[in-house]
Amino acid sequence: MSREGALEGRWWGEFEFAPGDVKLWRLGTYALWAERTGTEFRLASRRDEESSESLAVALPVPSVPDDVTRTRYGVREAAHSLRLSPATADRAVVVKSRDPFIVPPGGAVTVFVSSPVWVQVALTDPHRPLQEEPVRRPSDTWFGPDTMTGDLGYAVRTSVRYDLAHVPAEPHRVVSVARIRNQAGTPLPLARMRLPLPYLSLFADREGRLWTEAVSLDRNDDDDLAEIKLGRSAPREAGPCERVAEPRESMTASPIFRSFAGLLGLRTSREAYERVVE
Amino acid sequence: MSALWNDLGLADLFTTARLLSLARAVLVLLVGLVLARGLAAAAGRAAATRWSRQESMLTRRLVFYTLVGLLVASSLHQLGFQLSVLLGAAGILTVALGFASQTSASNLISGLFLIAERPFVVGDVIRVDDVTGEVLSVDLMSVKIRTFDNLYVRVPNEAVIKSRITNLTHFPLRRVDVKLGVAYGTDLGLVQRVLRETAEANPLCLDEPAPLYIFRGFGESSLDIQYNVWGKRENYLDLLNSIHQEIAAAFAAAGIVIPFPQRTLTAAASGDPFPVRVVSDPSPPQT
Repeated sequence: MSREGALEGRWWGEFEFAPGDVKLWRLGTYALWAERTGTEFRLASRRDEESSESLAVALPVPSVPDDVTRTRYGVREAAHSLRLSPATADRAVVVKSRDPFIVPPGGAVTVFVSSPVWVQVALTDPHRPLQEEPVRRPSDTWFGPDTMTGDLGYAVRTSVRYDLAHVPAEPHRVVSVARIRNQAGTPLPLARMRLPLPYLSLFADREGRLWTEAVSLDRNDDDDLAEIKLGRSAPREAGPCERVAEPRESMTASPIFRSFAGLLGLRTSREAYERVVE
Repeated sequence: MSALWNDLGLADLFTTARLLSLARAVLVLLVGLVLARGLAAAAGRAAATRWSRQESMLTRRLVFYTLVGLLVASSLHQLGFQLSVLLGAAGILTVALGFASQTSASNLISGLFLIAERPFVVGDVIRVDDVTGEVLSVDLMSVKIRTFDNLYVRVPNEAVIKSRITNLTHFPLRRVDVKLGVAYGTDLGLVQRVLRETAEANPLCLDEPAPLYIFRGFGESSLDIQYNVWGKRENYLDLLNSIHQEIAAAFAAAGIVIPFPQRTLTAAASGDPFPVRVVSDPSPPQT
């Protein structure tokens, strides 16, 4: 088993395969098997319903279970290694606070959001992506003023925390930090919040926990416009970190993030109307 | 033979000069057609990079038919026809043809309106009358639809304009309405909780807009409920199948009964139920 870095909880990196090798990764409830046979790599994955918090990295196993569908990739004979890498969600993540949370005028809050990580598998030398999937498929959700305009995102429930101590340290989840300051004269209800994860990079701390850059959001006036800044490195809560993945998309023209309503879902009258009408 | 040739005036008709101009006209038409096809395809490709499939198809056709028109006019000119005379004749012909081809004219005008109004574009899934399918093309005379059982349906534009069209793929989200009934006596709070948990567990079911629970009334043999969940348009069928299946399973697990229609008969006179006696014969019939 060859592993990049000997830090605890790291499941990514480059892994060598001899012909006939079968290796298993287990990240929480997600299991991934990779098998090399002659000129083929076979990948198979499964999500077990019963929760298990185990972590296994490139564990040699005799074979892939029969009840898991394998995807076969024809490769050159010389291809003998795979690279696993973590990635952020491919759509924005929308978090809902279970209890109403209000930031009073002049108040500030730091929110920790934990979302599932995406596992990318690629051939090495040259780099050829084979597949990617999340360790847990989050529910879809819609973020927009009505059912006609908006964007599809992933809903992350139960995972919004206001204290880092309550964020579980799991190597298969990504922690994002949002700092919200309310400098306007009216209270700011945090009903829903959208984090632009595809625009953020991934960092790994000493324990192998994954982080994204912090998102800071300053609300200055009573209108919906806010100044939104993405951090350039790992948040200070993470301690010393190493960058492990680049953002999926580059921040060029995305005016949606400039608007406060674009990041924090403010319920509109139209939405209320749709709930009344069948 | 040659006398007959002269008498018929065919010698004049097929002079070298005439044959030459005829050859030239045919050449212009053939080469032009090849060129027009190429140019139209190029224009279509250029349009496809910037516009939708429908607009690129329209551009291609517009370029092609304009060039064909010019080519025909040029060929006729080569043959010595006076275009102004021809156009005058065409004017009279149009009036005559107009009466004869009212349907085509109506389709043509409807087609222009359809292209301008854009209630749907190529690639959309629409329902016109009882036909549901993917729009293959929106032409001047008709709309071509491929149904999901792979039939090719041509609907005249006039019919499309006159009838009610439903575009199933216009908006990004669709709603699945789950209609169900639970047995009288069931705890409706439990039903609501089971429904909510089932929707939350289904990744295709949108978190927002949130699922909507509606109590529809006291039915004949059940408490009628409607549960509306939202999904991404592309996932509509998967959501429709999975959510019904999961609700059935969750109800079975929670002991919630979806009743069959039942009827209780009572005797009107006494108000007592009908006395029903089961008569069983203890000894099997002797043969």
